[in-house]
Amino acid sequence: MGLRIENLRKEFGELVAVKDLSLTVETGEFVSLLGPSGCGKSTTLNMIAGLLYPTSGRIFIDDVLVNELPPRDRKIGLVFQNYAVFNHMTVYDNLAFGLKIRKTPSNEIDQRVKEVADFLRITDVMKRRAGGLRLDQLQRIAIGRSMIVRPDLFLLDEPLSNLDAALRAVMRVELKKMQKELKQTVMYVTHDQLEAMTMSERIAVMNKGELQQYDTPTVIYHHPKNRFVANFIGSPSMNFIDCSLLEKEGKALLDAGVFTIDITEFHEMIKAQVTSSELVMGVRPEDIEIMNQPSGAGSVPTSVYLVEPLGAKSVVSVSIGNTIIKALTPGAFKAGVGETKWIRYEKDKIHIMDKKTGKVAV
Amino acid sequence: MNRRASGIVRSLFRYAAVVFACLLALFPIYWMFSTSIKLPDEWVATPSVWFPSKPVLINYQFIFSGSYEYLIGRRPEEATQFYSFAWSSMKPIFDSLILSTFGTLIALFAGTLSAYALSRYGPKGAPPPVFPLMYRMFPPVAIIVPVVIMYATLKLTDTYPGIIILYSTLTVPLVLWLMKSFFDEIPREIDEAAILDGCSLFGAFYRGVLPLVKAGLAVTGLFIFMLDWSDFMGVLLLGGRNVVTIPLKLAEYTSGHGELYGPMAAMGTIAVIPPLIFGILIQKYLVRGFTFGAIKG
Amino acid sequence: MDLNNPKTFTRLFGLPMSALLYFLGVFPLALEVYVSLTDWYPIGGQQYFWDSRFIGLGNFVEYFQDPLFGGSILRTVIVVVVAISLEFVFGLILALLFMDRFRGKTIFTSIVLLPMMTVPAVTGYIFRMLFLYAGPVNDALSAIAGTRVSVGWLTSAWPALTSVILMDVWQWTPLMFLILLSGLLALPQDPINAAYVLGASKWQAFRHIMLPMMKPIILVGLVIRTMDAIKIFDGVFLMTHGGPGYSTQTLSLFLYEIGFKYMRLGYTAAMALTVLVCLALFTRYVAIKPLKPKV
Repeated sequence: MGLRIENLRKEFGELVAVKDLSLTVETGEFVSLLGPSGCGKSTTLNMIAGLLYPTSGRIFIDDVLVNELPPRDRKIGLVFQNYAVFNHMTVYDNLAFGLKIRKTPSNEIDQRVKEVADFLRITDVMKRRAGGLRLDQLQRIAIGRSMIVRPDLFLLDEPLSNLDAALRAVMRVELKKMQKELKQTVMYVTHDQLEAMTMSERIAVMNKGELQQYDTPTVIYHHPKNRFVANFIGSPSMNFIDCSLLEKEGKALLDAGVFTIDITEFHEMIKAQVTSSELVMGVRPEDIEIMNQPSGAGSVPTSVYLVEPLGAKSVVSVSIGNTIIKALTPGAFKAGVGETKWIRYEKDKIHIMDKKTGKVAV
Repeated sequence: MNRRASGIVRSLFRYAAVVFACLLALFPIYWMFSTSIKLPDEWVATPSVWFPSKPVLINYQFIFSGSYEYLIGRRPEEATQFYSFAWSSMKPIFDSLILSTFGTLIALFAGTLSAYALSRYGPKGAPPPVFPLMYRMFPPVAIIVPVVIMYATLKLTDTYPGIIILYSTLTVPLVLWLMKSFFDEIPREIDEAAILDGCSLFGAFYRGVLPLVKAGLAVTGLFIFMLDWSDFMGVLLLGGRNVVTIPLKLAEYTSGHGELYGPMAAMGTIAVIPPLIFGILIQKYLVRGFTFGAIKG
Repeated sequence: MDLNNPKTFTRLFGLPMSALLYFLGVFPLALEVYVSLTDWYPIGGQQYFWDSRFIGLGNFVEYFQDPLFGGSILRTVIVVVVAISLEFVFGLILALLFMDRFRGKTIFTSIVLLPMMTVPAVTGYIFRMLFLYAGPVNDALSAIAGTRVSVGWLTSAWPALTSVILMDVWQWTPLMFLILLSGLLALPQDPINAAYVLGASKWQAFRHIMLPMMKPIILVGLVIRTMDAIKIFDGVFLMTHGGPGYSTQTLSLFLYEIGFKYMRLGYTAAMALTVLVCLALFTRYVAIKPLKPKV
């Protein structure tokens, strides 16, 4: 088991940054720690690295309890958000640092540095001072110097947030490739859900210090466990409509004011998990179809509020009653503000949540 | 070892080291203070007396009034020596105060004005022709010869104004750099706002910006005061009869009548109190002061 | 006079300081240059300035061969080098100790800074008392060594020099401490953490990462202290007065003696000017240039 965390908790005086976090990462797995700023993901990473001492809980790297070990004994690699390269040293010395500290013989150092430099394609700047190089070069150096000591666990703290969008896309692919080649166990911290979704085998979503859900990207996308996860994943984000549960004539209906949905088949399941009949309905924009004519039962009339063209697709905001929801349409779709359109959805793409707790029932 | 435990051990070592450093720092000062409250036969003894057996204030009394308490039973020559010392002990304190205060005020005045001009209008606006920074770094002894000559000619030797001007000149570059760093921290918008409100350029300075650097002014003032108060070479060469400061007084008595350790220690203790207090007050700014504003401490 | 004209305004504001600096700065310098080219020697019969003869560079030639002058320079260099090295080491240790927060830190800091705020002349006097033959230093040494130790601190050459160095170290280590501390605190934490993760111990991280990153500040500290230490005068005057003999006669003391005890004003002026020029060059090339981007 590459990494195992049990009931990790970190308090800073009154503030609880990480609450009772438990998860495991398999050897060779790429896992993301995803969440908004301040959710505790960097704190967690620092505890795994040994730079912060947990208030309680245990951390195992390769089944070894590391709580009491200083960072240098933990066999980990760490890449910072701002790379933190040793500016006053040459690229060579940066890469060689970890080995020099461990008193590796110099011909071995030489060889391994060359290997890593080739792999990361930074051989051309080997002799230069690390201080003046480009961001992507700095990042490679940061990765390289961690790689070279062959850590059991690789930790990355938002490594791509300093790069522009184009570079980011390129690096995402590269990083993933590298990880696969080296069969490295990776924990990747980010606030960008796109990064997490495209790169990870599993994602741990965190909010306010608590683990919300820990699953593969597909599961998280299709079956979010609560409102937070549902809202955080997916771009544009999910639509939420308040509604209430009605029982009428033996059927269970979801009443959203302007329209109702028959959900009798889910009735039992829902009733078991909700605290009241105040519910929230969630639908992703990509699961909503906008049509120019009503078509079949379940079509709801709406009025167009805003159209945002994105090129290949457009985001059309329509109003129903007094809520506005967004739908993803092909770019060619034409809609003028105020026009009436009809929307349709698929029943099994709806997520029904308890309004208060946010837990998803379906 | 458990990380918590090793953390505690490390703290203990740190405390021990810190306390040791503090003891070293305090010891000489303590020694002077304790000598100042010792009886004469304890001033220099073998083995040395670490704690006065009977702390007394007679040394201080002596400085201020020439009390006769321990003159009783002494030989007449000793008595006269003690007596003349007492006569002139109030004066050094007084003179030090006068010189330091006025020296500081003038330096502050001249330096702050120039600092403002330099800060707002750049070097071509402001005057100092010689690099002020360098000036402070020259040994006073280097220019002292011509200054002594000048003063002798102008009959300024051994006068209050003469030495005050010297102090001001020596410290004004420091004022310039310190106050400039403080002025630089105030955004230009304040000046512009004041002008828009109808102030003249001077008003922008006096009413707009100056109140904002009050703290910087105080800090600089205290620092310069400490420097002036500590001056020795200046009065050594240009003072003597008329103007005597505390350091000078101390020097008079080491070269010759070296036995009056008690009262001398008392005077030394009095001498170090103002700088000590000021120093603690402006602690945070000391780095800035000593490095001429190069480092914002 | 239009006070709102920026040019007039700055001229006016700069006036007081200019006046002071011209009067007691530029003018004396010019005068000194002139005097240095004479052999004015008031005691030796040339009572007034106009009695002195113009001897051109005669003074300069003479001091070149003057063993006392050379000696004082040598002594000054010894004191400066040893004292500053010690101040650097102790200052660094102190800075490392005071880097993190701990209970009572503010009070301890104030105490550690006290020596720096003591009047140097008084410090000289205090250390004189301490280093007396029958004084506490000898006592403490005796206690440690077990037997009676009586070093003639103020009466023998090398001990006297040592005591001068110790006095300077006591007085100015706090300044080094402050400068180095501010440098330490300004260091970015991430590279240091990176070093830890890569396997460095606290000591290794310090030596390979923190220390190199502190180079600029260390330079500032060393330069400033050197500038000040070369001028050392007050404390030495009160402690040993240059003695015994000439063994603690530093540069400033030497100039003082020649100029004001022996009254060889022309000669002193020449030497003083040379020192001035050397210091100015030193300042310019060692101190200001590397620091330019910061200033």
